[in-house]
Amino acid sequence: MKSTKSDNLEVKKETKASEVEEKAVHMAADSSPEGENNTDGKEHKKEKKKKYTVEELLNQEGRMELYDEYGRKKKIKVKVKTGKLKKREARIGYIFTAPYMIGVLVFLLYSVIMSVVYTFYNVYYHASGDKIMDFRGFYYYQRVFEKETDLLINLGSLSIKLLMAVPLIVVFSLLMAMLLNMKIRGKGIFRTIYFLPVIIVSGPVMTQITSETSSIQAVDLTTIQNVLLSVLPTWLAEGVTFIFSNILLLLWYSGVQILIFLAALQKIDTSLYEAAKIDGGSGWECFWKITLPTIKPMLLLNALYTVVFLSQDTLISPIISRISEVMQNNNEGYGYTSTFALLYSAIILVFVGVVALAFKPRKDLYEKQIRRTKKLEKKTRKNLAKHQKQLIKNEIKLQKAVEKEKKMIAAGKDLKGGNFDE
Amino acid sequence: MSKPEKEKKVKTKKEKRKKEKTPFTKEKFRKIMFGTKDDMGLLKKIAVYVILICVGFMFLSPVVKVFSTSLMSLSDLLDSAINWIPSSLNWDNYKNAAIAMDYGKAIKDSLIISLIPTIINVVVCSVIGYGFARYNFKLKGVLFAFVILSFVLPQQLILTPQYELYARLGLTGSILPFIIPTLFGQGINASIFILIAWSFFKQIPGALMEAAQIDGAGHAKQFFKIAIPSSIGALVVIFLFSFVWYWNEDYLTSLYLYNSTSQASYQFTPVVNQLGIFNSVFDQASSSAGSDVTTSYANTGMRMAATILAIAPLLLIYFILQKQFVESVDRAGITGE
Repeated sequence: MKSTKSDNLEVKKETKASEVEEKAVHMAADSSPEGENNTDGKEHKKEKKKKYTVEELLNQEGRMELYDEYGRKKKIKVKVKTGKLKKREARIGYIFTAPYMIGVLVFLLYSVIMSVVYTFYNVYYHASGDKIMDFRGFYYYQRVFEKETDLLINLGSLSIKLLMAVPLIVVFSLLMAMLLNMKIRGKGIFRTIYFLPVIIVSGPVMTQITSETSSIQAVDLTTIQNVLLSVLPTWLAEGVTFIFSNILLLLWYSGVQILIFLAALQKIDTSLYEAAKIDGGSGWECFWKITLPTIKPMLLLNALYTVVFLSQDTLISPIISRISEVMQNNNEGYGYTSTFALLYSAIILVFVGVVALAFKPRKDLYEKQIRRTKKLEKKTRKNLAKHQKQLIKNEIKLQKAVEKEKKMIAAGKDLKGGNFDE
Repeated sequence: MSKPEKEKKVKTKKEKRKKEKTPFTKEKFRKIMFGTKDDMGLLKKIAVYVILICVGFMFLSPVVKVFSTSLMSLSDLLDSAINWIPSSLNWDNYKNAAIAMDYGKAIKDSLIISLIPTIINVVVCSVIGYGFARYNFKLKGVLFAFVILSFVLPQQLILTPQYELYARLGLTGSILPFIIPTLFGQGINASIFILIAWSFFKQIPGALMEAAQIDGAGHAKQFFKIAIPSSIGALVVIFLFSFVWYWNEDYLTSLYLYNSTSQASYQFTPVVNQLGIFNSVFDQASSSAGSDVTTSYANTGMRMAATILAIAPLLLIYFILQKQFVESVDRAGITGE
């Protein structure tokens, strides 16, 4: 079905010009009797967009009406009235999710909007408890950059850290998940150990543990750090040396990612691998052709989670602790804090967007081909319509001219100097 | 044919079979070492185990190190020969740390602060997740987009207005700022829990629900009698993660519980915050002591004891729920489709 369609299209492409003209002429001949009035064309369009209900479709006598002039199927939108059961189910769905709706409105949307509003105001409380808001414009945006002098350096080093840490964590956790997914003895014990970081890593306890275990380092990195610091700009060198000296810490952060990958790996149908093996596929090929494509969405999820998690972590991003500090003893008022937080959030969202784009599952070749053929079809149809319009216009012009001629003849005027083109 | 001949033939056959079985050729060696298509080879197996054990050690070693340090006495800490195993078990560190942290009260506060929102989280997130998974309605797409947005959105953005809101309502200093948002699916990382619950409930075949419906089960009954029992794993995962994240939350607790104007309203001091206070006190002490090595080393042992104390309940719960947790990962519901 599909191939014939595309073949047709290719043929069309080759003989496009001639065929289009042919059809257009044909079309014009068809529509010329109706085309006397300009409004007819519009009516034609309206008819195309009409929505049919199921009954109407069933009662239609000739099924040919579902095809347009070129024998193509018409796009018909079938409007189905929602049944009672469906309606009731939808209502129950609203009831189940009602708490979340309220939560979104009251906590999420309200907070985000207020946070954005606060950035333009000086918000403080009067002694009597009244809230006072002075409009300050973009004052606080300026102020943040004035006051937080190392903001840009920190952001630069943060981006370097993310750039290096996200692929590291994602690849490492994928490897570990694949090892854990093998047929091995003591699976349970290994998993218990591997998910242990999930329990500990989120807390301030982590700071303690890293401070204690920083002494266990495989290589002494101070010389490398010094070299890097002397060669590279501070923000770059800071990020790079941080990654090198905290590889253990970063691997510790991959507990949740291992979990997600493991769950995804267990979902892959084993018969796929069997089929591949029968066809002579090696393990390496199986990984690239089966495992990786299947867990691609999880790659995106993990990368996003890693970015979000790392950007919220005080050990990775010093800005977070600075924001917390500002929030707790704010001499500058709420305006300053929310501006700071908003700027940081905007930057994090940019990071998230970049990662989402980088890990976005791409459409495969087949879908691409379909899209291309659809585009081509649309284009040819557009050209056809253009031609038709032009032809109809010409027809109308001609008609008018003829009428004018007739009128003039009726009026008895001489036509010798006429410049109508025939 | 005579009898002995037959016997001979049988014997030779047997011998042949034996010979076929035993020869240890190069091929067989290769098979054992490198494996066939269905079976891992010995070398590969060894490699896998070595990697797993090494990384496992990497994950375990900091905890073990902290634990062993917490048991060291002052002389052990000062002795550079002793690195991992203390010469004698010194439980004094734990005693002192527990007294310094007011451990009994802190544990009680921590349990209140993390257990109540966790239970609410399990209930609310499973209900919301079920609503998303089972029913179709017009606003579903929009709401789901909000779930994902709140997963991505940095907390700091919404913290200021929320803090202000709670402060104005006079809720700071109590546990209410943790309970109220949780009731509406807006607790700490609640969007992740909703996603987990959603992916579990989506796996329940629709035919099962329809059958129940035909047999006369209402929507509530379907939820409680079919959906919940078949997704215990999800509830365990949500419980564990939620408990851990509430337990480890030190910033929000310090913001909502302490930052009220009256100093007397320090009703709750969770363990993690106690640990922070404990550490800052010891930092001050060691900085004031200056170059005196012994005091700072004495701190280390106690510090690690306090750290272990702070995460001990988490470890306990993890090892209790570990089986269900790992199994629920095995059932592979956590990620959805």
